[in-house]
Amino acid sequence: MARDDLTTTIAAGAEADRLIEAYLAELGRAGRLTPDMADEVADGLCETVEGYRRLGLAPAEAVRAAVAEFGCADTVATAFRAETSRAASHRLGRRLMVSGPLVGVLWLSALLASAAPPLHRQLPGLWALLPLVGVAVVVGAPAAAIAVAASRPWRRFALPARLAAPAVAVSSAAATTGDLTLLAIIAAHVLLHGHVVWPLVLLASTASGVRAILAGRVVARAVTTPSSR
Amino acid sequence: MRADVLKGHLDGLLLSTLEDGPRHGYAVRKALVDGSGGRIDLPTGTVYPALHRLERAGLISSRWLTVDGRQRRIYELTTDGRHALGAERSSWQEFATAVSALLGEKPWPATT
Repeated sequence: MARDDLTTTIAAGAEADRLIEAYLAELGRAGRLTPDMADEVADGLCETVEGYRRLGLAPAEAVRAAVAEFGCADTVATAFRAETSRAASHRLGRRLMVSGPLVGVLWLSALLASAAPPLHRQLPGLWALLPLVGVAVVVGAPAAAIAVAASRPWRRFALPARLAAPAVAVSSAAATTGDLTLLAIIAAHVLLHGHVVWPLVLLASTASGVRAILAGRVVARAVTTPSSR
Repeated sequence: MRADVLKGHLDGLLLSTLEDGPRHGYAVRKALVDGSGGRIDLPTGTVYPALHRLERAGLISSRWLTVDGRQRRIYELTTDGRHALGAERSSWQEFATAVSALLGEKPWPATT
């Protein structure tokens, strides 16, 4: 009899473990939780299960009650996604706000030192695309500021948090457009005229190249990932 | 009480649960339920992201401890968090006084 009880208890415990694992796996899939987040949720869930066990519920029942108290995986995942998305928007928005003036100064130095563009006549060839860089700055800088303001974790200046992700995507798209335009212009200039101050041009090109890749990834993610909120 | 009713007040409520000392996420949720007499009963899982946001704001800090052989994340108020809680409390009292003045029960007007 005692052996039967033990077998039942072990089976119930295994069922409880399976239910906890299933919930955490579902949450992990839906919410893209970091290991820290997953550990914290697992600890909270175990604590909740233990609470129900102390009230006399069987292991599997205790897990079901704990999961119900925790909220369905979708609800919890949405809350986590919203926070991770806001944190990422804030980080990216700040990087774009800082990198914009830096990249701008690098290009200005490189172009002035290289006596480019040839301003004595109408902008030739790909230099005609230069106004596009101006448009990218005019669009990208305010968008980055909106992203940072809307994703502040506290006191958001009445800007809705849902603006943060689209704003950072717009700012990233503008940065990518501006960087790629500048790279294309300077490549054409080097091919046609050949003379530039290489160290400065290489520095500006590297900065723009790195930023275009990083910002381009943000744009790609924004296009392929459904909104979390 | 529904979650949307709490919108705008949740941060202050979470900070208040940490006023008496550090707690882990589940204990924070339990303090919300117990402190409100069961009226505030959020899904436990949604409390963690809110705590992470407050940590990002620098209002609370966290550290991992080993309790009964289990890794547990403990949260506590920072100095900025205490100031923010004080400001939230003043703002709420002002708001509650104004709303009570308008919505609170008033004596029936005397009839002649």
